[in-house]
Amino acid sequence: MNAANAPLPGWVTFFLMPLLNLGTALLISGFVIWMIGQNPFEALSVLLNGALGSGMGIGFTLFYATNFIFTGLSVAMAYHAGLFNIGSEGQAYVGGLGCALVALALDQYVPWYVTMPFAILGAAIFGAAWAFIPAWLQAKRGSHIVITTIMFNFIGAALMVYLLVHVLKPAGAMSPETRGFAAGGQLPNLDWLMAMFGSRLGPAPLNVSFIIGLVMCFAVWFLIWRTKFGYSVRALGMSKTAATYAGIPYARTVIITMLMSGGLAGMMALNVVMGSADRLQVEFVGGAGFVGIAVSLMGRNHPLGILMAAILFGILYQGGAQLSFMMPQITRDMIVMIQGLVILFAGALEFLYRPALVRIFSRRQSLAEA
Amino acid sequence: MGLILPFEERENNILGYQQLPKYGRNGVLDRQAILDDAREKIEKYDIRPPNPTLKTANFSGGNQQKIVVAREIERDPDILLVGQPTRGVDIGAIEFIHRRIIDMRDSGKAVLLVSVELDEIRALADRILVMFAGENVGEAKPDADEQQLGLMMAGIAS
Repeated sequence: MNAANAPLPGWVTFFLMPLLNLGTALLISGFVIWMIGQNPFEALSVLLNGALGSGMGIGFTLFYATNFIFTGLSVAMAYHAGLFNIGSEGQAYVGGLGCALVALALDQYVPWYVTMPFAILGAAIFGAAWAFIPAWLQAKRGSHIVITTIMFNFIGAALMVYLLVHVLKPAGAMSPETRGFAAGGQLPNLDWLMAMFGSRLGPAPLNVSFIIGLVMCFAVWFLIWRTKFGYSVRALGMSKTAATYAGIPYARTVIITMLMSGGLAGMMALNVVMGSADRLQVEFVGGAGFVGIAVSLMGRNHPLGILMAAILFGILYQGGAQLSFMMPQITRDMIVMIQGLVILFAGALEFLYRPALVRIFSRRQSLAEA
Repeated sequence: MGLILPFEERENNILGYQQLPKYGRNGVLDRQAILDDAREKIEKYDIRPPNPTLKTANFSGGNQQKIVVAREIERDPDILLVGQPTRGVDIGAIEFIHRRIIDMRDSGKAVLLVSVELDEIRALADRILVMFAGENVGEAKPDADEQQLGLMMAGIAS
């Protein structure tokens, strides 16, 4: 059996291999940091300490991770149908509009737990709506989804700026944002979660959206691997001709999958708009949609992998911010480079060590059998 | 191609029939039923290795063929249109597939067999239609001699 297909034990594929990849990325990052005359071990300890060393650090890490869980799931959902959704960024942005409109309408009248379901729905519907046109164009007209979703990122950004500057901005205010939500439009922090571990959240904006994110991880897993619709999606994603043969309607499956993908991206808005900023701001997504692509690739498009990759990127975001603060010689661009190396080794070169591991483990197996 | 190679064997075993209620109701897959169904066909068609959760790409070509044949014949269709059903399949399984096709004929189903194996056609068919250059050049009985069939295949006789 050739090395590409030879089976490996599960824990090797899903645990040891990513760990080796991550280790390689960190090793090279350390080398670069050493080249610019800094201590790589100190940098690593600052990074980890900043991200995981305190309740507040963990809070921020998980807050960022929540964004990446949603956008990562969004990218993965589309990916399973063979669609590369680059538009999670724009879908999350427009999803913010749906979320904010609900919050603006309800926040003064009802408590947060009444607002939340409607806000989730609003965010999902607006995000899905933003994915609908590219989906329809792909399904019916054959326009490539990569191109159309990228274009819709720009259209969405322009639309949101227009709305925030001309429509949603309260009279007399300077900055392009909606009014702040009252308590009914603010999601509560998860300080009790931190208190359970004897730590304090502090000002970190970790909120209920994190739990919604975990629920969505399970929901997406169930949908893709346990339902007939998920079966159709996967069949379509792996072989369009075989899916056609099996009577799976192409256009309908593509459109529904993209609506779900857009809806998941839109739900990311909940975390920032209602969970942290308590208002709709310009550019609140801040690239999380694009990070979602890396998170999804790294997590092998599996919700559990996405959860772990999202937390890893949360660590890199929060720890990276801390690092550039504590060690000014390591600039923001260096942090981006470290993230890039992680993506490179964990995403693009994920099978780098596979042939070697196959050799090691198949020898062990044959020894055990002998 | 009636197979999705990155799928597990049991997943390909229901391809095209995934919507049937016996594989799950309310849109949720009944994994036990699917597994049992796959095991049953693996047993009956001697698909090797007998592992319903193995990725289909890791089966040999002949066994992949058997997965497709098992899936389609066991559905007991009224009309069976098969092209090269035994290509790449081992001898024991060829015999088995041939018997299944004959069984279908015997139970009154219509079978249209397309094959380049003359022996296979002569062994299975009740009527042989010979194609040449995209056209039907004539009909023969399975006991017609090979020379006659050969001339028809070359477009010389009809």
